[in-house]
Amino acid sequence: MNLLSDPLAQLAAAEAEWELRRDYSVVLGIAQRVNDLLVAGPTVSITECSAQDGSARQGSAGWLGPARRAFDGREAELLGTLRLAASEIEALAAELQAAIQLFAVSREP
Amino acid sequence: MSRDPGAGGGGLFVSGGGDVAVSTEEMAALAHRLRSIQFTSEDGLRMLLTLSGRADFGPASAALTRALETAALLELALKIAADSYGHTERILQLVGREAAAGLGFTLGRLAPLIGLVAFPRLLGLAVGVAVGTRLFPGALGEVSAWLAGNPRLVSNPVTVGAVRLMVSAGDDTLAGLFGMPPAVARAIGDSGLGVWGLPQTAALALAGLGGIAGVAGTGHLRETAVSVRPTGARSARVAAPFGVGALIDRVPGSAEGDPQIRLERYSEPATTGSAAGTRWILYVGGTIDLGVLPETEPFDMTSNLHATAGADAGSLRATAEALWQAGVLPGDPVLAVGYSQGGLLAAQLERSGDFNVQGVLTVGAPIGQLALDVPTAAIAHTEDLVPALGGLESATADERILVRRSAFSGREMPEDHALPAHALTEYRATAAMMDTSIEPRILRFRESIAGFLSPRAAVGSARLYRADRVN
Repeated sequence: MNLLSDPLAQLAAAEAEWELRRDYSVVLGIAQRVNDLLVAGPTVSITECSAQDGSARQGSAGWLGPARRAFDGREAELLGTLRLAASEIEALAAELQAAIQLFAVSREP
Repeated sequence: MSRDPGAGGGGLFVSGGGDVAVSTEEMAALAHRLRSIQFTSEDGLRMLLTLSGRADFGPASAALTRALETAALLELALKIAADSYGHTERILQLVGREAAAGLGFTLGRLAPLIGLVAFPRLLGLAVGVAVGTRLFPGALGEVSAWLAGNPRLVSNPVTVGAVRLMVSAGDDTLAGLFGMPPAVARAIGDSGLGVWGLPQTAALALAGLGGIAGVAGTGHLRETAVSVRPTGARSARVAAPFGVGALIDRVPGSAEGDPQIRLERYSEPATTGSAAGTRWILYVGGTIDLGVLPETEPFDMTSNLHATAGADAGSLRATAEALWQAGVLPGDPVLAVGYSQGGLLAAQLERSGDFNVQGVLTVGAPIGQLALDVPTAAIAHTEDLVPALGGLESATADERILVRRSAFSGREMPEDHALPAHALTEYRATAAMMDTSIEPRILRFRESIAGFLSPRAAVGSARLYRADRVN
C-alpha cells in the first residue's frame, strides 16, 4: 500500500515533519546564541588586568600567584568547550535539516 | 596645548562596599561575560530537553554542560583572584601601617632628644633660611616653581603612598611624644578604637600653630565669619544629571572670585504612598587659596585644616548657610557631591547630621578616615597627593566604595600643573567611566543615588553661591 495514500500515515508524517521543523528552529536558536558568545571575542585575560595595574600596585598584582595562573590556564579551555558546543549544535542542526529534507523529497511526485 | 583628559590612563579599581575583593573593570566585564556563558548554556540545555527526541542531542547536551561547568569554574577562580587581590592589598596596608606607626612612635618618643641634639643645626638652618630669603627674596618662589615644574616627584604613586602612611602615623608620633605607652597608643589610635586619629592630630596641630600665630599676632589659621550670597538669578530650568560623570561635571571650578557652591532643586510630585517633596543636589568645589593666612577666600588652607580636625571651618559654615538660604529643610533628601576640600565638606556635612544627606560622592578628597552612614563613593587617582592627606582608608565599616584609577598610565604627565592628577578635568574623565562600568559595587552605588538622577528626577532649578570671609 502506498503510504502517501493512507490518511493516517500522512497525518503521522506531517506531525513528525512539524516536530522536526520545530526542533530545527529551537536548535538554530541555541546555535545562534552560542555563536554570539564566540563572536564576542576571546575572554579578557586576567593577566592583562594586572598589567594595567600601574607601578604602585604591581606588588599586590604579583602576589596573586596560583589563583591567577589557574585562571589563565582555563581561559583557553573555556573557549575550547564553547567551540565544541557550537560544532555539536551545528551537527545536530544539520541532522535535523537532513531529516526535514527527506520529507520534502518524499512529497515529490 | 589642549589635551584630552582621560585619554589613555588606566582602568578603574574598585574596593570597599563591605567586600574584601578588589576588582578591576576588566575583571567585572569578564565576570559578566562568564555569567552570560552560563545563562546561555543553561538555557540551551533547557531548550534541548524540549526537543521531540527524533535526533540524538546527547553530544550537543554534553558539550553545553561542559561549557557551563567551565564558565562556573572560571567565575569561581575570578572571585578567588579578586579576593586574593583584596587580601594582599590589606596585608600590605597593615604591614605599612604598622611600620609607619612604629617609626612614628619611636620618632615621637625620641623627639626631645633629637631636638636637643639637632637644636644648634636647626637654629643654624633657620638662620640660614631667614638670611637667604632676605638676601634672595625669590628663593622660596623658585622652590615652589621647581616643585610645580617637577610634578612627577609629588605625583609618583610611591610618594603618594608614603605620604598616606606618614599622615596615618601622625597620631602615633604624637603618642610617642607625649610618652603614651605603646599598647595604649595602639588601642586608642586609628587602627584601634579610633578615639585618637587624624582629626585629633589635626586639631592639636591647629591648636599649636594657631597658638603660635596668635602669640605673634599674625592671624594665621584663624577662623573668621563668612558671608554667603547667591550669584545671579535662579536658573530657569536644569535637566537632572544622568550619572556620576554629569554630577562631577557640575562641580564648580576652583577659580578666584567665582562661586564655590552650586545647588540644584528637584520637586517630586506626590505619588501613591508618598507625599510631594523636594530633593537637592549640593556641589562643592575645592580649595582656591593655598595660603594659611585667611584673607577673603573661605575655601583656603585654614578651612582645610579646620575641616580635617572636625572643627568649625569657614567653608563648611558657608556651605551649610547656602543650604539654609536655598530653603533646604532638615528632612529634604540631599545628595552631597564635592571635589577636594569640597569632598571633605560633603562628608563633614553628612557627619554633622544637620541635613538629610542620603549620598556622598567625592573626587580627590581626603576623607579616608571619616566614617559615613550613607552610600558613598570616593574617587581618587593613584598619583593624587590630596586624597593621601586623609591617611589610610580606615573607615571600612561603612558601605563606601573606593574607586581608584591611574590618571597617567600609558600617557605623558602634563608639566604645566603642580598636581596634574588632582585636576578636576582629570576627575571628570574618571567619573564618566563609572557610568559605563558594570562592576557590581558601582552599579549598586548608582542605584542608591538613582532618585537624584534622570529619569527619576526630571527637571529642576540650579543656583550658584559665592562665599567670602568677613574679617
